Amino acid sequence: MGLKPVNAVVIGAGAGGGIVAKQLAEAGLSVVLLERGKWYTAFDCGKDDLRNQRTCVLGNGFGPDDERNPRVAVDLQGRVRTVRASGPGYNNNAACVGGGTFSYGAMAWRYLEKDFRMRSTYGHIPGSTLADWPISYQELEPYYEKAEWEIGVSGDWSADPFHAPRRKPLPMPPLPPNREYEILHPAAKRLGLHPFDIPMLRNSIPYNGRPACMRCRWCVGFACEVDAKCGTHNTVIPKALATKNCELRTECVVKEIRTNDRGRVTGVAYFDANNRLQEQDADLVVVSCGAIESARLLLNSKSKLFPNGLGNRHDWVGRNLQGHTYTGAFGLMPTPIYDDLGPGAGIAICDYNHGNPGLAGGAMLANEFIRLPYQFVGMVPASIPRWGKAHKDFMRSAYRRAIAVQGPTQEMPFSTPASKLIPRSRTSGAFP
Amino acid sequence: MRRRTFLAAGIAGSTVACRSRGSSWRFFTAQEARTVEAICAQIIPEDEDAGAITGGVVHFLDKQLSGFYKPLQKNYRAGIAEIDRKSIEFGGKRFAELPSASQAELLQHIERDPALKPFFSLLVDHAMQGFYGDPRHGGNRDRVSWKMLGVPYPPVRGRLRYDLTDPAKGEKPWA
Repeated sequence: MGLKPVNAVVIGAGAGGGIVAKQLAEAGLSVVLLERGKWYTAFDCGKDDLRNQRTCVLGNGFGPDDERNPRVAVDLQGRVRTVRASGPGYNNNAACVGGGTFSYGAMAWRYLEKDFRMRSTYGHIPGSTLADWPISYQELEPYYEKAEWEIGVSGDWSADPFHAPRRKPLPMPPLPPNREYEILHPAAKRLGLHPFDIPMLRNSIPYNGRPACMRCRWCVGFACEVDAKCGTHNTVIPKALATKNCELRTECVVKEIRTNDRGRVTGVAYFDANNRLQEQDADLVVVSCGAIESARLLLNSKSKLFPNGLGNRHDWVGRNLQGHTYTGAFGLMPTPIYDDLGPGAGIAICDYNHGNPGLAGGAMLANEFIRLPYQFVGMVPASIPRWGKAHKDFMRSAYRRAIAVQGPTQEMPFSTPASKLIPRSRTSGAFP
Repeated sequence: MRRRTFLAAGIAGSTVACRSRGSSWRFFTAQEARTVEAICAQIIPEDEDAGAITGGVVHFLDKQLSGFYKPLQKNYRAGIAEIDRKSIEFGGKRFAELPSASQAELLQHIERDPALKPFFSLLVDHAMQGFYGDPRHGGNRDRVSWKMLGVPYPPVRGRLRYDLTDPAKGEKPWA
């Protein structure tokens, strides 16, 4: 027997799902918001440098938990292995109410105009499926603005000459600079670059009923202890729930999206917190489970009309996945510059986002979030041994002198499947 | 049974129950603990600052091998035995009994040995976790590594430093 039908089921209470749930609930629709993880709060910060969402050697801070969420990874040699949720080869996106936004570093970049027209700008890239977006920056601009003001962004882009046109400033000023910023700002200026304050989803002044950032060292990978970091968990999801039109069900893993004989979606089947199979009928199903889990769910939703999964008539589901690797460099200063003033990242340049000779695309470059001691262990130069006295000497002399400047690597989409179902693999809910 | 005898029996019983083989270790045997501690002392040596021994890295390993690292128990048991075997082959003694210089030399060999390299790399990483990680996990006793690095502790909360600038007015003292 199914549960009481609703207008909409939103799968995944993360960055996308939280916003959709709020919009639908405020429009008067009855909404069920399903989330596979738990509902953590600011009290769950933990400040555990071995168990958080960035360093998870002793487990993920905020899900997915290891038991319920294994994946199977196939390497380039075709070898198949099971990957635990906190192990290497998974990814460290949190699975909880708020999703990645719960513990992210919280940079709030807008795409530049050219980012929407990569194919037109750079032409065909051999082997790649690179295409233009079907929408433009101008069409999206009002929604960027809405998100910045409703969720809360601090920063100052006015010194960045590369930003796309915008109608309104950011709702909050940037946080005051830390020592790294004070060094990098004049240095970048001297090089003829254009440094500015990173837009961040972090309160620099009290905003939306929550306090300002207290500048601690536990930021990216952690819950914010004073709730100054703005994610969907402390903005749009509470608003959705306040309408009384939205019900949030946590620890619910959706097995499949159901369709009828006419090919219309009728609802979802999911495993609840006790691993019981539940059926939830809905007029509308929103798939917002992240790049890999969304593909997995669509591929698992097979029926007579959709033998290869939903939305997959042309075999595109699970392809063209792009990652989030970073490239950068460390500089060692002559004297200690570590000032223990979080979040660490604060200054960026967009001089190299486009127009790099011989390259398609590029990226912003920014200073890094505070590196906790264990995170710095592997960041020794190749000339330094990985252990022994020399390693300890390097840690001791370099930890407080290092500045990292990094940017996300521009990846090209390829049609090689990045996520597909491995039939023999089963999660505890017994689906591939 | 008199009350005192009963209590003594109870304490003895509970001691046996939670300390297998009469040792104070959760997972390691006393011999394994000695070997691991000696290896860790080479990975993070003592000098003017504390090293792996003072930092209690072996206690971190023992605790985690009974917890989150339980799946690695077999790797550890086999790896430690193999290092001791190599050590006897190399210097006629178990690893912990070798002179420090020989220990370092042997580990250089082990690092290049294809069979032992994976275990040694694992041990290096775990030793770093135990030394530089949070004391709550059993290592970094008295926060010795954080003191060495100069990471303030206890953490200072609410370091807003709003006295430097008034962000509301857009003041930037460095501009």
